[in-house]
Amino acid sequence: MISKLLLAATTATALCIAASASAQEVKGEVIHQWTSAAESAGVKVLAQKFTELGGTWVDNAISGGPNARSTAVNRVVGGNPPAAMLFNTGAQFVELQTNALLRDLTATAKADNWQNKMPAALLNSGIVDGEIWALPISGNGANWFWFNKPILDKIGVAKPKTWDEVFAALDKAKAAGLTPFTPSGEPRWQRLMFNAVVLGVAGRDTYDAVIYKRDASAVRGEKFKAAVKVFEKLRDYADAGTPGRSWPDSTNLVISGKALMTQGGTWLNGAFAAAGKTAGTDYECAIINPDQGMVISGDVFLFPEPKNAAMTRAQDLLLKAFADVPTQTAFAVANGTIPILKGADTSKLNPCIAEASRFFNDPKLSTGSDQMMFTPAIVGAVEDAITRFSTKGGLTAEQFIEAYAKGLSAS
Amino acid sequence: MFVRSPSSSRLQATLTLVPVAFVVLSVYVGGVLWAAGISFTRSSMLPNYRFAGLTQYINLFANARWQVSLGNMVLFASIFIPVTLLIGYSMAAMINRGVRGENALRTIYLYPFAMSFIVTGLVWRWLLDPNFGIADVARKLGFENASFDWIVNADMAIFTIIIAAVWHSAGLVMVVLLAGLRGVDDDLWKAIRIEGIPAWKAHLYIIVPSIGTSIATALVLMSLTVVRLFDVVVAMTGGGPGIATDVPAKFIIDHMFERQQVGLASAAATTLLLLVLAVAVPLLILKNHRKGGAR
Repeated sequence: MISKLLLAATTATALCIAASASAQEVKGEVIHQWTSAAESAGVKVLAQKFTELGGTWVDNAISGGPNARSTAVNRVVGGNPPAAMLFNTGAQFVELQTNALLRDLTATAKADNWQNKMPAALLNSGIVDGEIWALPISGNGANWFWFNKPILDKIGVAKPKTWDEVFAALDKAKAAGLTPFTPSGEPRWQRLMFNAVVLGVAGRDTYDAVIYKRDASAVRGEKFKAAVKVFEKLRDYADAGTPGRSWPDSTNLVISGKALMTQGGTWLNGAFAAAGKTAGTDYECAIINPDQGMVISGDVFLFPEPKNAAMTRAQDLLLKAFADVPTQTAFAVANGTIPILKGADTSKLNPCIAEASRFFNDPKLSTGSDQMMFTPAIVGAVEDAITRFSTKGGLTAEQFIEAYAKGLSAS
Repeated sequence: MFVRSPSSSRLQATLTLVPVAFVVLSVYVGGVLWAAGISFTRSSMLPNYRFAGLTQYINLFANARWQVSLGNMVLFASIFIPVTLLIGYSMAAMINRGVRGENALRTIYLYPFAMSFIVTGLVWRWLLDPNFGIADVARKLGFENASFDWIVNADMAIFTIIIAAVWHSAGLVMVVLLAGLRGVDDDLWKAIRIEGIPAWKAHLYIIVPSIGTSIATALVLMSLTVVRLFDVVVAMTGGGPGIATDVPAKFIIDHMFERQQVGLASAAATTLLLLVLAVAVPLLILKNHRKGGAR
């Protein structure tokens, strides 16, 4: 015990000495959860730009979004904040802001012209009382369905565009003795798929009423009910191994030709690309009923209230690096996400991401994800309802609609 | 001969214990009291002190997921504890008869416990996978209709977790009980043999009562496994299918961090603590009572 304390004390002293010795160095510690191969490549791009600007990137990658975020929050509350930390776009940061733990980015945003660089929907999700508190860094489309192209050819079906075409393709695959549908069975991806069905079946008006206004009467309405029925039907095509299966395992079943279809955001494109597959010949991506638009999700960087001048300088450099158009675009290409800054060169993008980018930059064709609008407590409550409905022998459609409507007022 | 005066040795003991007592009181007891206090507030992501009365507890017990979690814990305890005890005792009794290769067997039996529950969970998850696991092996061996889908079946999934947990803990219980069995006087065994008492009767009525302390220790250890149950669930089922295998510890962690509901999570943690005390205190009293009686 004593020896451990001594060790800790010496280490702390050594760290202090090291810190004061290199006071000239602008150290920026960044907490994030980007640990997969594509994501790490993206981080490298950002770190490189920061280094070029004269900073020293201190990488603190923590596997799993919730783990990374709770570490960051503990550090901020404990008075030892990182220079920047990664959160999901949306309401997650609000309580930190109300407790005066975040740096106000309004001045930087004005100087760097964020207003004209970024899509309004993304920037607005980081605004509280007219002040900007979050810097959007990555964008994704969430309501995509992914198909194995050779299987589509084998059963003689074109890329589905409507729900009827989807079910027809699933039936044909089933009849051919193939596994039709392998979605991920983790609750958050079940929630993602449910939202995709609500937007695609119930339509944009109902979706926005539920997500933006938390309108319980829209949840109890006929259109939402129709979406619930389609989701229930899709669930019955899912293979037996679905419950608990991660999205990479589920995607892999489509990549390797064991299944026809899976569901997931634009990040699935990275998995296909990493397996050496080409969009259009090996796989297809589609939003079903695309007139209703795409569900946008993404990540933002938050900058804790700086503790000293050195930290302010580090944050200034990080902000400069993250909002730089060529850096942002190179990051998005490496990461497999949508470039979020206007004026980005989209010629290097894969067809699926290019198509997603088109939706992304058109306000009529893009709407926010539930995580952008709901507090984490509500996200959790509706997620519990959705995962119980997704389980065979779980909630009935009527019970589920009630549970979802009640979840909208969770706190 | 150097004799220390009783007062100086008592002083030394007190001095040694002061830091420990301080840590226990401030960190553990203080932390528990603080969490209990937070459970009566509206705290969400960060703790605050706006009094909310019993709101969090009312929400907690109205929450379907918490009800399922508690039910799962009771079901888990009522099967896991007796089955592990039975298997652990049987292995201990077998080894105690002086089989050859005792050390090797003991190592093999204890080995699962040396593995992290996460590893145990992942191994069992793949073994029980309906498409790729044991069921697939059986199909490839010619049993074409073989299927074993407990892990994805909401009604049966909790039993797969019990299987993994029993496999994990039986070795530890064996070692604890074996230590107890080794303490049984040889004369007692001789007497049993002379009297010609059947083995099962001897174990049930004579040996088991005489190793009560070891059994109480094993029970305490297993009870801790029950309330701490978290990692094996996360690794095997993630609480699913649906919320079918959710457990209180997972409920608390999810709400404390990802869902930013510190008040609700603290209410759940406080409830869990009260349940633990309700089970552990009588066991500890029993254990101390036995210890006092044996001397």
